[in-house]
Amino acid sequence: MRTEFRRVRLFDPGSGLDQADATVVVEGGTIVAFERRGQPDQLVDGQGLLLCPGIIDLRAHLGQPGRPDRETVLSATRAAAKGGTTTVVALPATDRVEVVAMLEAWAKAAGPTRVLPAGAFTVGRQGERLAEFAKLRAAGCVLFTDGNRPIRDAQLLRYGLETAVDVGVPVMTHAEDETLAQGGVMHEGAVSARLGLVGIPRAAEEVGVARDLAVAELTGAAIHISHVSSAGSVELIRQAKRRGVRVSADVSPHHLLLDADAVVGYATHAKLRPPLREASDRAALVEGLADGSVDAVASDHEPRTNLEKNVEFDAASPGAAAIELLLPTLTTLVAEGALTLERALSACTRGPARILGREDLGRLRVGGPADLVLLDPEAQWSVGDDWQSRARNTPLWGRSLSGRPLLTMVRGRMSFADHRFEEIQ
Amino acid sequence: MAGQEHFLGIEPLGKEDILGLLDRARSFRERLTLLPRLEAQDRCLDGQSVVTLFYEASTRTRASFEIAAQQLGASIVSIASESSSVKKGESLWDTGRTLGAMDPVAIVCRHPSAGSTQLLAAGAESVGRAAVINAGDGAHEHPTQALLDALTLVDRLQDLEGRTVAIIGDIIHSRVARSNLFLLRKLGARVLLGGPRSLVPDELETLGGTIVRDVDALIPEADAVMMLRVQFERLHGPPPFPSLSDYTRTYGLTNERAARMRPGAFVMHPGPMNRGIEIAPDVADGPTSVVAHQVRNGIAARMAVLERATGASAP
Repeated sequence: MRTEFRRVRLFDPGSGLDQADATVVVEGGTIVAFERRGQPDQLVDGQGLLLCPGIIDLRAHLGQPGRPDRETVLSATRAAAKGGTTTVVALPATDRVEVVAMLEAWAKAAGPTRVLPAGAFTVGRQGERLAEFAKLRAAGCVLFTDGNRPIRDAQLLRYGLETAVDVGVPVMTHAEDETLAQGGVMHEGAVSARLGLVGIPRAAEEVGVARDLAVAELTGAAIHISHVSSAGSVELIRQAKRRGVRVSADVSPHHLLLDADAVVGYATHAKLRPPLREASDRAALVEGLADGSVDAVASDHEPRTNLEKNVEFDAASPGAAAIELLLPTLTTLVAEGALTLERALSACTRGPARILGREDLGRLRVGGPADLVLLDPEAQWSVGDDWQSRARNTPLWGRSLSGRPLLTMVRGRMSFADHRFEEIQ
Repeated sequence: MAGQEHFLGIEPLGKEDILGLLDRARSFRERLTLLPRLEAQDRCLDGQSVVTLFYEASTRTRASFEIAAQQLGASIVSIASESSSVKKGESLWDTGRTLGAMDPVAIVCRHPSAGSTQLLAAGAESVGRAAVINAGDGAHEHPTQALLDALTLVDRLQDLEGRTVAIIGDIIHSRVARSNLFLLRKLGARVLLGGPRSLVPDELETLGGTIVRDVDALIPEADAVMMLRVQFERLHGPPPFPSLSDYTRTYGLTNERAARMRPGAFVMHPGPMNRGIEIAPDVADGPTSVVAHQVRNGIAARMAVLERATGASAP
C-alpha cells in the first residue's frame, strides 16, 4: 500500500525542512520519497496544511495496569493519536519485566500509537535501591524514573545516573524537596493565602532542581528533569546548560497555559503536582521553551475519575488529563506569538527524540518511519470537542485553542483522521 | 418565606449585608435581654430542623449555633462526625445530598478542609432547599465568628471606619483571621497583622492587612488587639519556633505588652485560649478583656445569620 500526501507544507525542525507544496510518499510503514512516485493507492490532498513529524510524549500515565477506571491503553492512545501524538512514553514506571510485556501486548492490540514503557529508577519506586536497568532496557524500557517521587537519597541518584550512562538509557527525575512541600496542595502565594490552602513554595522544586543538577554535574551523566514549574527552575537549568551540564527539561501544557488563579473556587481539576504557579512563572516557562532552556513539552497526562476529583480540595488527587492537548497547546502559543513554529514543533518532535536517544523518531526523512501528523495550525476549537480520553479531569475544559491535527499516521497506518479525511482511512 | 441562600463566607458580602446582619443581631440581642426566650411570633424557624454537622471538635461554635437555632424555634439534629463513618477522602458532596434530601432548613457545617462547605452546598442544592452555613472550613473562613467580633467591636467603638484592629498570632492557619480581615476591611477599619514570619507570611498583605513585624511597636497602635492561638494541629513538619516560652517572649500578649496598649483599647480572643502562651492569664481575665462579651454576642450574630440564610424573617 502506497500513500501519497500532496500539496503539504513539509515542516520538520529535526531535518531542517520547511517546504511548501511538497509531496511525501509512504510505503510499508516507511517514508520512501519526497517526490511523486506513480499512482498511489491512497492520495491525501493536504490543501497547503502542515505535515510534521508525529509528536513524542515523554510522560503520560495510561491507567493500565491497575487503574482502567481512570484510563486504558486503548482510550489513552486513541486520545493521543487525536492530538497528533505518535509515540507515548508510558507511566507508571515499572521494575517488572512481565508488566512491560503486558503493556506492550496491550499497545500492540490497541494500535493507535507507539507505546514505550518507562522503567522504574528504584525497586518498587521506593527510593531504596536501583532497579535493574540492563534487564529492563532489554525488555523494552526507554527511560528510568520514579514518576512523581523525587529520589531522596543523593548518593543513590549518583549511582543511578552513573549506571544509566553505561546501560545507555536516560534518567528522568521529579525534582522536589519533600520537606519544603510537606502538606502543600497548591502554589504558595497570594491565592493560597486567600483560600486558606497550604502552599508549596517554589523553593521546594528549586532545591530539588539544584541538587539534581549538582549530582548530574558530579557524574558527568545526562539527566532529564520533568515538569518544571517555576521561573527559578528554568534559570537554574539555563545556567547549568551554559556550564555544560548534560541536562534537559520538559514542561506540561497546563503550566504553559494556566496559573494559580485557576484554583480559585477550589477547582480540583487545577490541583496539579507540581502546582500551577504565577503568571511570571508561566511567562518564564514559555520563554525557556523559546530559548531552548526547556527542551520539550510532555503531556504529564494524569487521568483521574470524578470520584477522585469531586471531593474536598485537600483530598482531591492531583493531576490532569492532557494526552490529547500537547500539540494544540504548542500551536496555541504559536498563534499567540509567544513561540516560533520551529521551536514549538521542535519541543514535541526532535526535542523529546533526542532526550530518548531515538534519532529515528521525531523527524521526517526518506527511509525513516512514517510517523507523521497533518496539522491545521490555525483551526480554532474548544477543549472537550471530540474528547477521547476516558478521564475528563482537565482545568482547560471549554478553553479555546488554536491548531488542530487532522490526520495522524503511525508506522504508515492512519491512527486518526478528522471528518475531512475520514474517507481515506 | 423568602429564598434560601447559603452563607459560606464574608468575602462575597457587601458592606450593606454586613451592617444589616449586625442590626438584626442587635435586635435579637435586645429581645433576649428582656426575656430568656423569644416570644412565639419571633420564632421564625418554628417547626423546622437545623442540622449541625461538625467534622472538627468544637465547644463554643456548636453550642452557640444550637442555642441560636433553638431560640428561633428550630429543632436541632446534631451530627458528630468524628465518630461517624465519614473518613478522609470521602466526598462531602454526597453528604450534602443525603442531608439535603431530608429537607432541613439549614445545615451548619464545620470541616477541616478549606472550601469544603462549598462542596456540601453543591450536594445539598442538587436535592433541596437547605441553606448551608459555614461554621469554619479549614483555614479559609469562619464568617459567624467575624460577625460576632464585629458586633463586639462596634459595641465598643461604634463606627469602625478609620479604627485600627491588630490581629496577632498564627494567621496563616486562621479562618478567624481571614474572615475578620475581609469584614474589617469592608467596614473601613485598618488591620495590622503580627506574629512569626512562618505563620504570618508577607503574601497575607494581599488580603488587605498591613504586617508590622515588631509586636512591641504594633500593640500601642491598636484600638483592639485580637490574639490567636497557634494551631499546632495544622502544622506540618518541625515546630516553626524554638519553644512556647520563646514564642511568648517575642509575640505573646504579656502583662508588660498589655500595659502599653492605648487607653481604652481592649483585648479579644476567639478561643480556645492557650493561657500563658499567646495571652497572659491576667490579661485574659483582666478589665481590658472582652472575651466573654464576644461569646455572648455569638448567639445573636448566629440568629441573624440563620434568619438571613433560611430566608425566614422574624419581626
